[in-house]
This record gives sequence, structure tokens and C-alpha cells, in this order.
Amino acid sequence: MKRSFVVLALLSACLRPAEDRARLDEVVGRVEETSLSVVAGGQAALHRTAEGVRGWAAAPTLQLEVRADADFVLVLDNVLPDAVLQRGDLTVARELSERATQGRWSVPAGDAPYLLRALDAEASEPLTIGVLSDIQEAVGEVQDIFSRMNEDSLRFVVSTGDLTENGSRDQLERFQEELERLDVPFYSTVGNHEVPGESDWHALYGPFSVFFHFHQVAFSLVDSSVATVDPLARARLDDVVAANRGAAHVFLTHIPLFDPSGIRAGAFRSRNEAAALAADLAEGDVDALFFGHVHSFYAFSTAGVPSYISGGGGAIEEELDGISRHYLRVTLDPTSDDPVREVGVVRVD
Amino acid sequence: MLVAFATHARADPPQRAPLADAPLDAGAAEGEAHVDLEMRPWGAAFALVPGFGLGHIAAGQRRTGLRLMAATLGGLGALVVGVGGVAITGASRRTIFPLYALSLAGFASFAFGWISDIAGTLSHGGRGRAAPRSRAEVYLGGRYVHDPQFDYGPFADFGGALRRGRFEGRLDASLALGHDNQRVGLGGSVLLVGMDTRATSARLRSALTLHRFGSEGFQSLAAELALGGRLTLDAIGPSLAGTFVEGELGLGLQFFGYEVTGGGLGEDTQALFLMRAAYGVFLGDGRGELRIEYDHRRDDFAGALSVNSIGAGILGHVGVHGVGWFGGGSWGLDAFVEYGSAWIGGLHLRHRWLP
Repeated sequence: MKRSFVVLALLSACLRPAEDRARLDEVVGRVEETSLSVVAGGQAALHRTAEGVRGWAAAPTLQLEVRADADFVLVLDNVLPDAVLQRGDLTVARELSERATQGRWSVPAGDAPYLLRALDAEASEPLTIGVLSDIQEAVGEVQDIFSRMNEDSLRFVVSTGDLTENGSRDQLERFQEELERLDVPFYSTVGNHEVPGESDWHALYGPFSVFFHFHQVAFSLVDSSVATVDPLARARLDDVVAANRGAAHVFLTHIPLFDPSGIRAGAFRSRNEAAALAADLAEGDVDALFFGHVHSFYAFSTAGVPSYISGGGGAIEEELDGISRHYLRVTLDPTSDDPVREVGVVRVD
Repeated sequence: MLVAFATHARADPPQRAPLADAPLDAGAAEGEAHVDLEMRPWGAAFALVPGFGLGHIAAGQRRTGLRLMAATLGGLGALVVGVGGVAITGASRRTIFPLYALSLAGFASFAFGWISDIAGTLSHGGRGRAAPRSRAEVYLGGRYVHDPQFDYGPFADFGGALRRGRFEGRLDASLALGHDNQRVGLGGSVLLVGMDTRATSARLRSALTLHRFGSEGFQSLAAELALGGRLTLDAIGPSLAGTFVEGELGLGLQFFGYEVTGGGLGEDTQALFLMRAAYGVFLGDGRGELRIEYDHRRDDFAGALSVNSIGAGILGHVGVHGVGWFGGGSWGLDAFVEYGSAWIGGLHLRHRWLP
């Protein structure tokens, strides 16, 4: 009986290649020591430093639970240039740091919840963001794209992943170094090219799937790096979809549910799973789907939901399609019945 | 697989190994050198590594070895050209079909050539041969689908086939017992070469499959057309008697409909790339067969392989299928296991009407 159970458990495990990443997401963003504890609610990668805590924000708004026996220094990379750290009505002074997307604060001793956010986080004005995916081996040229983005008044950039060739620690760190030239934060889920280095992604970038709100728009960045969404991540997504029914909501994931060229199979491993997820996203009133993985640009519809594939970060290009390196400039209006006001292709080459 | 067929086309007319004789002697009857029994272990070792027909050559079956070498080298070449083409074109939608077909056919020819080299040097020919083609066949049984994304559980399966001359019509149905899920397929095929799909033959096959996911609120209809065939490997060499390979290449369209958008099929339409390759052995004298199979489709229960790697989602699913007829008569059982995005196991009781 026990042996049968073990065999069944192993057989089941074989079918959930993304399960480890979904479980890591349950414990991401924590520094928990006797004298100092900072918990970022799964929205960041945090680690201990000599002077306090350093981390990488995976979302524009972070809720931090702090318990400190002594004052410490909190340094966060990938934050909005105008982000403030607040404890109740009290704003902690943001100190001078190396670049606009790095925040540095001296946090006083004590137990308290903090909120890192931009003052317009809850605004309902239209929001313009960039979507950039599939850089892979072209990391040496990505500065062209960042320079163009810096001229574009984007609030932040979101990505469906494939930032590196094979997700090694060196490559992930190199990409973070390149991001120092981008004037706004870059929030991303993982692509299939990050799969070999999942523990390094966990340590350096934090969650594989991340959900947040900004300007009344819900963003769901979901790990589909192995052509499926693990049931644990799917359950989190289902909750977010249910909670945002009727609100502006965009869904981003690396592998397209369906590949517009069905023959190519650059899509989910199971069309049944893809169709079931498409049905749920349509039922949940999601306003747009963004994918990467295919190194071109496609605009189409999935279960009636506007869908876009953009893999223009510089990875080996799909030939004969007339599209080269590019990113998407997306304007979202949360007050509109059709919140996706504009999706423009910005060509860089 | 395609290379294997090409090799067969150049080979002498196939002659099945005598069932009662040791297949070692059958080689001599076809002009193949006698197997050197002392070299047999070396043949098996060379078949394992490096393969490429060298096992048969080491065991004294040069002609069979050279044919297997052509199949494996040709397959490897096709695989390299196909994958290289995909890389160079960035998997362009305009060139993906021939390049994908070449890659998968090349891999199948390479893999089955290697397996045949190993099996042939170890067994030196089996005694099995194809079961006769029945006039009609029905089956009843069940399958269990374990998929982390769906609560499928057990299904009742039933269906059958009716054959007249070169033509076959068939019905296949799977109905979930504890879930609102039903799949029904209607198909037809015509033999283009040979008169029996169980022996060397080629056929054109078409099918319509409706799959309803009531619990999940969607349904799909797949329409497909494929050209396929089977090659009994005694055509390649006597040591391969009792084994066969199969291949199929085709295209289709899959139409999706969602309850939330009105339920009409055609809300989303997807092309289907059909590619199947199998290697099998006959069990006894017409008493059944067992085959291992790769199927590239990802629109059925099994989907594509579950792998935690950069290449996730590229390969379809694998399976083992077997059928056996009690005493070679009218009643039999078939069983299968498939692995992809789900585990599937099935068992069916079959009845056939022989000519």
C-alpha cells in the first residue's frame, strides 16, 4: 500500500515540472533572523547584508513586515524612482543612492509594517508601460532598447522572461547590471531559458509568478516556462482573476497558450490545458494576454481576449516576418470599458 | 522512418523469414552471410555503442548492417538538417512544416535504426508475424487519465471498425464516468499500398474528433488528414523478422468553442501537425503485437512531454501499445500506457470477425 502510494506520488511528480518553482514562490522574499526580520510578501528577493537587508523588487508596491532589534539599512533595487517607504503616516527619508531605480533607507528599530509605493500607485489615470521579452544571447545589445525606452515616458517595463541564454547566475547578474541603464523598473516572470537556473532566479529576482496592482490595473505575471502552469500557481491566478472580475486586468506569461502557427507548437504542452485556461481568463474578464517565446510579433484573439506575442528582445529572430528587435508600448486606461487603449510596436532596429 | 522506407524501396522484394526455421539460417536463404555465433556478443555490443548497423556487420550480417547504417545515418543527417534549418530560420512560420517533419522523421529513423540493430543482433529474428486483417472489430473497456490540470479520472471506451476491400471506417468514443467530459471520433482510411494495415502497407487516413469539456466550459473539433504506413522489417534483413516500424505525417485543423463566448466552434482555430512513429514486434503467429510509439500531437489526453528544461513543450508524447488475440481467435485484449502532460492507461476487450 505504502509502495503504491510512493509510485503514484512519483508518477504525479513527473507531470508537474514547475511545482518546485511554485513552492519556492511560497517562501520567497524573506530575511528571518533572531535580531532582524524583513518579510516582503512574496514580491521581492531579499538577502542579509552587513548593514542590514538588500533586495530586488519584483513589483511596484511592496508590503514589508519588519522586526528589528536595532536600526538597519534597507537597500532595494528595481524600485520606482519616486517610490517612498512609509510606516503609517510616517515617510522614511529616501537616501541618496547610485541610480534612480535603487532605494536606500535607514530603518529604525522596532516591529512595524511598512509600505513601499509610489504616491500615484492607486491613481486611475491612464498608464503607459513597456513590454519586452526574449533577450537571451543579445544581452550585449539590449542597451539600444533601454535607451529607446528611456525616451518613451514609460512608468515601468514588464516582461514574460527569457532574459538570459540559460539562466546561469552569471547571466542573471549580468542582466541586472544591464538594467542599471534603464531608468524605470523591470518586472518579469521566467521564460524557458531561465529554467536551468531556478535557484539563482529565486535568489536574485525573487518570485517566478508575481501579481500586483498599479493605477487600478491588475497585473498577473505567471510562470509558464515549461509550457504549463503548475496547479499551485494556477490556484493563485484563479484567486486573482476572481478578485479582479470587472476591473482592468492584464495577463502575461512566457509561453503562448496557442501558437498562431499551430504547426510550430511554440505553445502550451497541452491544448486542453491551454483552452481551459483561456476559457477561465475570458470568463474572468481579463482584458489582454501578453506572451513571449516566439521571436516575432503577433496580434490575435484567444477566446475573445485580445492577445499579443512579442519576443523582440534580440534572441534569434523569426525570419521572413518583417519584424526585428522591438518592444511594445502599451497604454492602459482603468476607467474605460476597454482598458487596453493602445498596443504599439516600437521598432529598435 | 522515411529513410527506412526509402531503403526498403531499394532492397530486394521482401521475404518473410520461415517461422519454423531458426532465423539464423534465414539469412543464408536471402544471400546474407551466416551469423557468426562467436561474434554474436560483439555484435550486440557494437549495436549498443556506436550502433549505426555496426552490430549486424560485426555479427556477419553485412547487408542488413549496411541498410541499418543507411537508416541511422540518413536519419541523423535529416535531424541535423531539420534542426539546423529551424535554428537558421528562427522557427519561421513559413518554413516550419517541412523542417519539423524532416527533424522528427530523421529522429525516428535514427532511433529505430539503432533499436533494430540492437534487437536484431540479440534475437536474430523473431517468429512473430502480422495478425490477419479482420472484416470488422469492436471493443469495450476503459481508461484512466491522471492529469494534474483536470479531474478526468476513469473513462468508458467503446468503438469499432468496419473494413471492406481497401476501405475502413471507424468510430471511437471515450466518456468520463465521474466528470463532464466526452470525446467521440469518426474516421476513415483507404489503403494505397498493400492490402493489410498490419503488414507492409501505406494508407490515407482522415478523422473528425469532437471533444467536449463540459466542466471547463469549452469544446474542440479536430479535422485531420494523414498519410501513413507500416514496414515489416524482414524487408531490411532476416534478423529483423517479426518487427515493424510505422510512420504517419499529416495536417489538420482544430476548432475551439467556449461557453463564455457563446459556445460556437471556431472562436479559435489552430493548425494541427500530425507526426507519429512506432517500432513494434509481432507476438506469435498472428496472435498480436506490441509497439512503442512517439506521437507529436498535443490535442488529445496525453499532450506533450512533461520536462523541466529549455526544450519544454517541443516534443509530443510517448506510449506503449499492445494487443493480443486469445489463441489467435476472435477474442482479444488490448492495453496501452501513454505519457505526456498526463499519464494514461487503458484496457479493452476486443472482438473481431475474420475473413
